[in-house]
Amino acid sequence: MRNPVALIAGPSRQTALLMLPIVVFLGIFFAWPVLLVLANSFGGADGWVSQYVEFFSSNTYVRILIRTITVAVSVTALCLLIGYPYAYLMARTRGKTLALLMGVVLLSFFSSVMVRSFAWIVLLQRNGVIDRLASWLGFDGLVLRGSTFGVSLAMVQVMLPFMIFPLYSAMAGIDTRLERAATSLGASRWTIFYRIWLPLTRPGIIGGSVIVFVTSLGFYVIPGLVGSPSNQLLSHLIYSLINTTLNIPLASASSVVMLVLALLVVLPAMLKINVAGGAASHFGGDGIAASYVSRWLWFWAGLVTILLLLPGLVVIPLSFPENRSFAFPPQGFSLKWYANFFQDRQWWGSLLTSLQIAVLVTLTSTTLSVFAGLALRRASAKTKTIIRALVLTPRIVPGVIIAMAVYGMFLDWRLNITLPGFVIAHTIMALPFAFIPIAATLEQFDTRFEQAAASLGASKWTTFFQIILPLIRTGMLTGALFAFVISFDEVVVSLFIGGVGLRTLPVQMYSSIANDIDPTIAAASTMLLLMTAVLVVASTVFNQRRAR
Amino acid sequence: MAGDIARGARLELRDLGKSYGGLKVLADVNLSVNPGEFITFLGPSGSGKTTTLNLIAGFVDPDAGGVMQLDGRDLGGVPANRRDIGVVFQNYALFPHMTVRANIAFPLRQRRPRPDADAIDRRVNEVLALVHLEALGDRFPHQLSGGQQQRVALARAVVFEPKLLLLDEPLGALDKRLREALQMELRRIHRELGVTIVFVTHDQDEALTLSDRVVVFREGAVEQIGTPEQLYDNPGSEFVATFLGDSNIFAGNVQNGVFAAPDLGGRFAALPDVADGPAKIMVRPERVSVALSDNDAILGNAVPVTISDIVFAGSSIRVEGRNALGATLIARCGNVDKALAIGNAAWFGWDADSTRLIGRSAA
Ligand SMILES: Nc1ncnc2c1ncn2[C@@H]1O[C@H](COP(=O)(O)OP(=O)(O)O)[C@@H](O)[C@H]1O
Ligand SMILES: [Mg+2]
Repeated sequence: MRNPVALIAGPSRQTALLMLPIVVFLGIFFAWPVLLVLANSFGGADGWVSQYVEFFSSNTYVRILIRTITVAVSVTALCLLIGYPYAYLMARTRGKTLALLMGVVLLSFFSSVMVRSFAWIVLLQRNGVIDRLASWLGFDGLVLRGSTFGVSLAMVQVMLPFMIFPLYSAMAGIDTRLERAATSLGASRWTIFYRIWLPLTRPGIIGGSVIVFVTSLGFYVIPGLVGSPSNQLLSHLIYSLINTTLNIPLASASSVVMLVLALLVVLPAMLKINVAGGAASHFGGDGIAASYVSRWLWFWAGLVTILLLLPGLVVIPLSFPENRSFAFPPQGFSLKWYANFFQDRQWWGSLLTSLQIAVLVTLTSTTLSVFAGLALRRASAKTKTIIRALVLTPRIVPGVIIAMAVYGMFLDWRLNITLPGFVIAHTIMALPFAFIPIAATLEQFDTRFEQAAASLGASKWTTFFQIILPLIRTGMLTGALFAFVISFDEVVVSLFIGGVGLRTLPVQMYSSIANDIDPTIAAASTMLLLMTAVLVVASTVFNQRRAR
Repeated sequence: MAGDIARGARLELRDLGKSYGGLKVLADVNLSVNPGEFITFLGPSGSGKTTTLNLIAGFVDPDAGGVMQLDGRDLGGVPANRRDIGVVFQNYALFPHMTVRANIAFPLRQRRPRPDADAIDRRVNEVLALVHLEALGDRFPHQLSGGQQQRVALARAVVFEPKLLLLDEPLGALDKRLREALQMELRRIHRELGVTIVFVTHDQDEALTLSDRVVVFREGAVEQIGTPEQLYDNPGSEFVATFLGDSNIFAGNVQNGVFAAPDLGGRFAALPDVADGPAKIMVRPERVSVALSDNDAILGNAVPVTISDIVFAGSSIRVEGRNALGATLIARCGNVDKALAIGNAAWFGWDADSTRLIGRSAA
């Protein structure tokens, strides 16, 4: 270590050393198992493409594939249509109003996917809220539960924040003066939208659409719980091929088909913009002076707020019934399901397991991201692109594929149903989210602070702990928070690699929904919602105060 | 206080160069800075001033072959945190999460053996007094004005008594009044501490006001080194002549010790010791006098012009004239003929001693 500034400014050997942990980690635990899936898909007694021949010659499978694509495309299109005006409104407001609009999306984003899925089951069930609303309006016989439409509706609600964040990021930077200039030049409102807004917000449109499309493609939870076997999607086909028929080669081939579909969308988009960057980079964006905002836009935002927040609220009354039932409205009042949560080892234990894993994942992903971020700062442009792509790739591989890949590898390594296994698997999922804010903060960090510290006699460790760390605190906390939430909320991978001995809370909720009618899940959901609300409101207030 | 601080260090640079990926951004800097000297690097943006400073501070490593010595001690391979060189950065680089006191105490806490808390406190107070910031020790950098931040940066860079102080355009972000006040402050501190100072600026006035000597940078190389008077009176090149102050430059030919620029008209005094060939001569505006006719044959040089502007600039009058080639010439005079008006034909004249030959134009 010849040069203390070299911790960041220095020779490529040190840059390489700092990048090593994250590269090795993702190489071993992410890239390698995904390659194994690829290899497995070409196995089989009847020639190397036999699995693909089998897949594409089966009417059932092809129909599932087409249904999956249709769902992913329509969910993406709906999210874009619903989210675009909302994001526009966000970009055109500031201060408290912006905080409120942002808060709604954050609240939805950070609410557990399991909670929201449970809410949708309750809403869509026979004689559920929507059923009754429909028949009251005269649409008898409209059965949403199990229908592809019901599944899509629920997926849109869950996915909407992933669309709104990148859209808002793209719009927040657009100068309103552009619009004024265009207006003064005689452009109509439509021309302004078509000629100025659409092109300028294209990175957000592409970024949001890619994330929503890829996530929808491999979405497991909602189709699994809200859908029905008769209109299965690809993710469930893969799961049942592994778990029911133990047909690993065919499951692998199905995964590869899904992966290729995802890549067909991702790769062209990647050439245009930095795709995965949009997802978590909404922090720090600042609205520019409000220009013309139509009343209809506020009306629309109201509808979106209802869509984002109202469904979740349905779980609250369901946590207080006297009897074991999800009937709506619930009968009687009791707190016994809350008591049950804290007495039943299955529930209480799974919460502790989830917390334990999430804390460890937060530590590993934050540490790895800080190392990589430090390396990234002074790496060459080419190295930067490679590192960024590597770390962000898990974000654009459908979750069910990561689940299957990791599961297969963990079989050999005996890591399934172990704590280290969970921490490793969740870290893969959490890394992109932790990395984005941390790397962004480090990138903005002025090298002169380190040079100043060095010129004043500080060693590189003093510089790191007394100068760099305190100054990147906000980005690090943001990254850590994301990592924690991603791990705490993760379902698909946990379903694959978990087991009776080791279950996270979301998996416990999943199997409770799938197998029981047990209002304890409503109690658990209510508590999770409350936690999320406190967290989001606290951080919004904190940000508002800091902004002043 | 000057008594308990050692004098500044001698800085020696030899064949110092720096390349980035094969591109040479700094070539063969040779410079010897005397103990306690105030030396200024002057040059346009991108000419290599900061790079040289970074090499001296140890933030970047020089190309092989370059030598840097501080009081005879070789700096090559000595990490930045062991060089004991104070640095003031362009945007101050004050640590935003530390108070003024903590910023200034920071270098003291890095000394080994580490001074005790009382000694640190005392020293911080001394330095705060030196820069007149006694009352602001508990503020954070963002609660200070630009000028105050500048003083804190200076205090932090001198608190550990370095023998060499590097300042990279430290006044660049401040308005003119404040700049001038801080320039005077800097001169005072330099006198009090006796430290050697290398000061970077792209502002010629600042360079001429502050420095014992000026190093002019151009495109990653040293163009000329000298005292402000030397550089102003005897610029070694057209670049230096135009970069420092206004100048009138004539391109022509020397033949048998006589300079001639045929298309210009007028007459030029003999240049006895100059070899034949193409040449450029220069005269500073304040050496030029203006007359309505060429009757002042005492002056060795005279060029016909058409007056294009007359500007009263307080203590002097600035007269601009267009010569036969359409180029603008400048004269700065104490007073001018009342009859002189824009559009007049007139003569710009100067005596033989005021002509400077500034390098030969390419043959
Ligand atoms: N890290 C770097 N990589 C590549 N080129 C650089 C780097 N730092 C400086 N340069 C180049 O070196 C030249 C000199 O820069 P600098 O020393 O900052 O100039 P000055 O301080 O005189 O404005 C510039 O052309 C600049 O682009
Ligand atoms: Mg510079």
